Amino acid sequence: MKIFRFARKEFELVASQKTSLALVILYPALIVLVVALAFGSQNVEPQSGFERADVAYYLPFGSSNFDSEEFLDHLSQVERLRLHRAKSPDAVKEAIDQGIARIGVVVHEPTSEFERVKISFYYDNSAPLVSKMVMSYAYFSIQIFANNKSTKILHRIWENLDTITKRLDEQYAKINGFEEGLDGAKQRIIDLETKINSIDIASLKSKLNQFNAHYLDSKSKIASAKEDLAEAKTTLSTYRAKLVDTSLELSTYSDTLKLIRGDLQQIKNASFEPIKSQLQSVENELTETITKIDSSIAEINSAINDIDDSQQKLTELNTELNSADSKLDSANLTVEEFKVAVDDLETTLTEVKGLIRDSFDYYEQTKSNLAETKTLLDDLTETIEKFMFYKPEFLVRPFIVEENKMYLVSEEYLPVEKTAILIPISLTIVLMLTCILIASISTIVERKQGLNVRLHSSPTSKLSWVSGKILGQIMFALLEALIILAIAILVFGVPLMGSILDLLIVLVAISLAFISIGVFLTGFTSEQSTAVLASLLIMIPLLFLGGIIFPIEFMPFYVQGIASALPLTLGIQLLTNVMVKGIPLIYALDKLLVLVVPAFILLLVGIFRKKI
Amino acid sequence: MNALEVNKITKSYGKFKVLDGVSLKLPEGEIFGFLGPNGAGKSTLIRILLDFEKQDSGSFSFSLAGKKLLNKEVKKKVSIVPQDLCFYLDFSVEKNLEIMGALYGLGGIKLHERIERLLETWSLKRFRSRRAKNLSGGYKRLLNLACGLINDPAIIFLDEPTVGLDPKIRKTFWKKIVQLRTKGKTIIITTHYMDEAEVLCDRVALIVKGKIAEELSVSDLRKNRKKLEDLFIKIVEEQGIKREDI
Ligand SMILES: Nc1ncnc2c1ncn2[C@@H]1O[C@H](COP(=O)(O)OP(=O)(O)OP(=O)(O)O)[C@@H](O)[C@H]1O
Ligand SMILES: [Mg+2]
Repeated sequence: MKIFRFARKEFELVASQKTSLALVILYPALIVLVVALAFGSQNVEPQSGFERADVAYYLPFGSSNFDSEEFLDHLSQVERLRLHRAKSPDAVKEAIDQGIARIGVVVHEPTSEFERVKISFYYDNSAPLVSKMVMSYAYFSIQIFANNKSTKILHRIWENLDTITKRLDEQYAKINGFEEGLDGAKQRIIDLETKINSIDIASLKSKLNQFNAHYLDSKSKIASAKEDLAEAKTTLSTYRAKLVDTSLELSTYSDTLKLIRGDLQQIKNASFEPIKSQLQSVENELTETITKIDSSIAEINSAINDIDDSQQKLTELNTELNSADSKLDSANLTVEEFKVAVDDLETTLTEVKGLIRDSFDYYEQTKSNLAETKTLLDDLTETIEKFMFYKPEFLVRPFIVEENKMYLVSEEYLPVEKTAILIPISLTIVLMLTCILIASISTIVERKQGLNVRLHSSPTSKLSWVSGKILGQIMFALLEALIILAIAILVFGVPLMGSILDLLIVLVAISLAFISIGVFLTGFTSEQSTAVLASLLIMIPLLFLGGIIFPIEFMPFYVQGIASALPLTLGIQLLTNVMVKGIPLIYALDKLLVLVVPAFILLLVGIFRKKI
Repeated sequence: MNALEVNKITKSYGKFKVLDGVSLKLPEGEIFGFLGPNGAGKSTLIRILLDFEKQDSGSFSFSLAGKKLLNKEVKKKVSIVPQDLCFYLDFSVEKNLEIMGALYGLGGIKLHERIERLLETWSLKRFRSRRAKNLSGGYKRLLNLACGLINDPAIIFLDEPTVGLDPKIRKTFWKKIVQLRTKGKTIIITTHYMDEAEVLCDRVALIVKGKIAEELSVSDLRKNRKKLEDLFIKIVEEQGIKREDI
């Protein structure tokens, strides 16, 4: 039968196309493998489809109003969340900007520990599905934390009420003690009263009267003594006058004698011997008599002086001695008795002082006790007030959560948000399809049409030839991108959040990355059809792992690593950065490098694998 | 003075020995013919000489005016017109020539003049704006030739250049080749047309089974009133080539 021979031919024909055949067989296997990897998260739970998601957080560490350590401890025990600590709320946003985290949690420090804690969630709305899922998962975990916290506070209130009751009981006992103390004090004051009453003021008075009588008696005695003394004085005066007369008489005699002697001397001097010597002896006798008289006068004068002295002394002595003596005697007696009375009074007063001191002590003690009571009461009111700060709303819901989208926040972007998010994704996919295909097809067309022969026989280096080719392809890709962007921006009103220069660089990098894949493939294929097939072979896994069909967070951990280094993934992220997030390219240089550096390796392999 | 010296080149594809110790000396300014049955190894030898492939052993060198050319100079001065068509089918004739010029760093007025001259010389002026794939088979060959001459080479390899040309164009073609020789170019040509070889070549080498079976001067042949075609068949039969071996 002819038809079987044709069938056999066909089989052999298919089999002879080795590369194509390999692709045809390997391809489905590869797709199955990729899908299995991407969706093969072992324990998918209904509440969290994702495998692992990154969360950036900022907590007010060191705040006395919020226990950040406890909160963090709780969060870090939540499965599937990979936490990244940020130094400030802005750093949380930066982490999302840089794609380190999908969502951010910022706990605002409350002004007091009784205030509801405000939590701001930030989510990457350039990937709304994952972000919202991760956010509600995180929110749920925080809710559990909040419930635990409320329960703890209620427990604490109960415990505190218990201790308050106990302490009030103690204080009651103390106040009873004060009452007893006051009673004791009253009794002692009564005792003191009787003692003061017992002091005998009447006897003290009579004793003072007695003292007065003594005094009067002494006074009269002193008066009579004075009279006696006056009499004596007069007698002495009379006696003195007589002496003065005698003295004057004697002086007259003496003077007369002295005159006689003078006359005698003149006679004597005029007379001669023996009269002279007789006269001399008479003169001597005269002189002797005069001398005797003079000495008598002197004696009498001194006697007068003595009398004067005595008189004087008598007067003084009498007054002084009499009055003093009598005074002292009587005063002495009275003071002795008075002393006793005063001693009595003194002891009583000492007792009063003691009582006063005791009262002071007791006063101080009472005061300190009352102060204690006061502080205790303050304590208690404070404790109670502290709990009063916990408003019922706080206990029911200690956290107020606020959701903030990170990008396209302005109202005006609301209608185009979804489109804006999709543009970078679709643009990257378009660039992927275009660049891989044009790069591989054009290289193979040139090879087929013998242009490599021309190139090889010319002095142009392969590198500059290929550079030119790539440049042209990039221009082509850019043109296509610009058309799409023009439609997006002008027709749909999608905003461009980043700079045009960044956009251009990113578009060039993405084009280069995909062109390099196309060029790489031509290193291993020589037919257009094979190249197209091989392109698909690369593109489909990229699509599956690029986070478009299935978010990267949903993939198993190790696949996430691979997925996030793939050019499609990086391209979408970079383009989203520029278009939606408005993050300067500077902050995503690492991604740009991961995108571009392997591209150069692929290019070199693709270019130099075949000689012509 | 020799433009090309080939020294015992061998080349095998697997077990199949395509070239088996080929040695040649080509004087400058002459037209040299590579003749031989299909599959003899002519194209392979040219590919090796132009660095598309590496010989297993042996060596060769190009010289101009007694000076050995360095690799770089070879690329500038030596050109090939390949047996297969090598240009962009989707570009116009002129565009193709412009791109070829760019490969040699040519541009501007100089390139433009050269393109005009080539279009004129190779009767392509009428088709300058036509897409290459829409040319007739013969004109495609002429374009292929023009592309190879864009750099005004001193040594030119022509691999079966006249296949598919009608007798009139072929005659003009011959004339132009002879003109090139008068300009001092060295031309190496492979052809299966013996009359062509007789008209054009100063010397020919007969390659059979990867070896030089005979090398001779065409003027000597003419003196002896012998036909190249007879000699070719005789030698091929002597070498015992059967159709199956090709
Ligand atoms: N890449 C290759 N692999 C294996 N064999 C090859 C390869 N290239 C050429 N050959 C073989 O080498 C031999 C020489 O081929 P070549 O093209 O040099 O012949 P030719 O002399 O130019 O023939 P023709 O006159 O038909 O053009 C042929 O038998 C061919 O089958
Ligand atoms: Mg050939």
